Amino acid sequence: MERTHSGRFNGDSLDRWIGDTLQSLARAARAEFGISGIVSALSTALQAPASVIDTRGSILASTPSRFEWAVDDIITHDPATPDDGLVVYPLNVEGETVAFLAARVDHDHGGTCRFAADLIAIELSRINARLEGRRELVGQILEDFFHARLSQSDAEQRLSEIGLSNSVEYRVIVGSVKAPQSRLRSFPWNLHTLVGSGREPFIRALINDLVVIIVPADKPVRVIAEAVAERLSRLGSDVRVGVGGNYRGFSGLRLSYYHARTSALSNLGVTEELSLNLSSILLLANLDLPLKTLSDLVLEPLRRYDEQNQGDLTLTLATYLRLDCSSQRASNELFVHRNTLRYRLDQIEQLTGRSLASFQNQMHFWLAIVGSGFDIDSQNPLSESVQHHADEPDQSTLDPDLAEIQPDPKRES
Amino acid sequence: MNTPKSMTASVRLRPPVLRSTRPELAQDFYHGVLGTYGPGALTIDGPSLAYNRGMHSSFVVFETGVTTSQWFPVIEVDDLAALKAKAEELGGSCVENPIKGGDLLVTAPDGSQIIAIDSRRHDDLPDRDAVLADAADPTGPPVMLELCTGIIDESAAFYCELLGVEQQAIPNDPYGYRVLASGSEALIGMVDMTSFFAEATSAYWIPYFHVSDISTIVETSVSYGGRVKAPLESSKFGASYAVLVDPTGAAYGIRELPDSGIFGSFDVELGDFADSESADGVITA
Repeated sequence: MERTHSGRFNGDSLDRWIGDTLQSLARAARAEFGISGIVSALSTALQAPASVIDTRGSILASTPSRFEWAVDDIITHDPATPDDGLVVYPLNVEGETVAFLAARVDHDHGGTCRFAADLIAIELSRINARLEGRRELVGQILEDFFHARLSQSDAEQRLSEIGLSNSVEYRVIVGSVKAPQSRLRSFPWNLHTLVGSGREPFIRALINDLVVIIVPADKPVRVIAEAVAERLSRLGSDVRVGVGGNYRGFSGLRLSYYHARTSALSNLGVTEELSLNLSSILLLANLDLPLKTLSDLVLEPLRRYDEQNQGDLTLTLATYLRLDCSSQRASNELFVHRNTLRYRLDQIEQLTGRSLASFQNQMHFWLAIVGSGFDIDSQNPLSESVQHHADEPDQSTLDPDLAEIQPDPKRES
Repeated sequence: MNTPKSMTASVRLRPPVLRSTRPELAQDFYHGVLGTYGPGALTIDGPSLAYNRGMHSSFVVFETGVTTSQWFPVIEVDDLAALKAKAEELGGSCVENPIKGGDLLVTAPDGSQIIAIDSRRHDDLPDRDAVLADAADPTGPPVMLELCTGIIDESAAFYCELLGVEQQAIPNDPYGYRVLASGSEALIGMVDMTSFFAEATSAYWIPYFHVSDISTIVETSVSYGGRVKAPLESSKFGASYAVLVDPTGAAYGIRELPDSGIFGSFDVELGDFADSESADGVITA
């Protein structure tokens, strides 16, 4: 490149240089060297460093590769700032700025940097459009599955088509942000993947206004959830990210989705390991969820205890709730002393971490009893209780002054 | 066991340490990024994370209680007081490591820092060794360490004297790359960052983890919240490498190695590449 002593081009040499540069940029784009090829051609022509940096400050291409870019200066660059030695152009995909082209030069001679930026934006849009169809397909399948619009066999086939397996355990991450859906749709999650393999290490979809990510349970879910929150925070305010539990099979996948949604709605930021709240999930799911699976999960600690200790905690809970939480009637029906009933209810509270004094928890347990298919009417509490609980401590001797049973109000309500 | 690399009789190179503002997040991140691919696996033991990738093994320890996240080389010495005196005589400075009492934080004239631990009184060493013995492959190379510095002559001289190693410049290299070696064994790389780093940048160390599918790991790192600082590139040593920043802000590198070792065919004693084809091309890592 021929320059005057002041660093500016002579008229003829500038025209020639511009023509040559535009040709070399176009060649780089045609030759499928990708973004790094265009950046390299631009850097060679400018005899100055050039790069493409995404909106998070992650460098997609740079020549020289180890040139240290002031990424904050690029992301916040004001074209009106004179003489900062930096030319920056935003790269837009579907109207959304997804990255920047930066060159360490004073001026964009002949619009060569602008031309390179246009070429790269076209390349990004082309790749994004190619993957858009698949993302929409994945979103549609997942939405149909989560809302139980697919038969069991259909669901298994379609989920396997998008790379999910019934034998793998997954956790679901759900994220929401106050931002236009169009921004959520066009925002490229990972430009490095977009211009690289095209395959993210997890499945991602947009379902209504929610970003849904399905992660194999052995992946660092908390790390991914934080990355989701960080990306959403670039799109708008009120970022909420919920992490669903790890449940087995495709019905567990659906449960994890509703768990994650409930968690996301509960707090700002990242919420993980939120206790399952059956009534909230029921409201969210509009009954299109695996109620039996959910209910079994809620009752699982009691059933495990009963199995290991020949206990009757599940029966006791069902009876107590069916009789409107009357300890007198429940103890009569179960044919146990009221202190024994209280002992069992204490055990139920301890095993589940929920207080039976709370109406919400009573509802939670009642839905679980019904949803699990527990046949209350067929129970014969008289014969079983007498037999099974010969080993239980006689609570009447521990606290003879007990009147009505009062579950512990300090527990979770 | 990943045997500490010998330098002088009294100084040994230990696996690097990450001081992180969020060690648990960092641990999950590195475990997710490095533990997923290849034949090896990562083993977590309390605050430590043993990095075992079949033939490529190394070991990292996470510390907390800091305001910025950064990786540090670690040297083990028999006489910490003597090392302190030597560092100060060479123009460096030393303070007691605020994280671990009894350790030294040595600052070189270029501002880069290393941690020196006293093998005779460091409580953690047996535990670290035990984890290493269980998890690491003795045949694998350690994490490669690279210093990015703006005063490479002074920095190379300082660390050579302090560690008792020799420096060897890579011939015809525009970035003045140096390799610090103990005998015939290349241990540490140094790159002159004046040509492409911002003036205000302080010197810093980068640990390079050896991986078997570098393109995938770059993409995974970004999906897990990392950022790329230097995109994937081929090095003069025959390796592919990239420099990234983890979600807590610490810079780290990944390399896909040639079969010939961490510095490729570069022969320290010869002062040149055994394979002459490596003489041209980009430098670093």
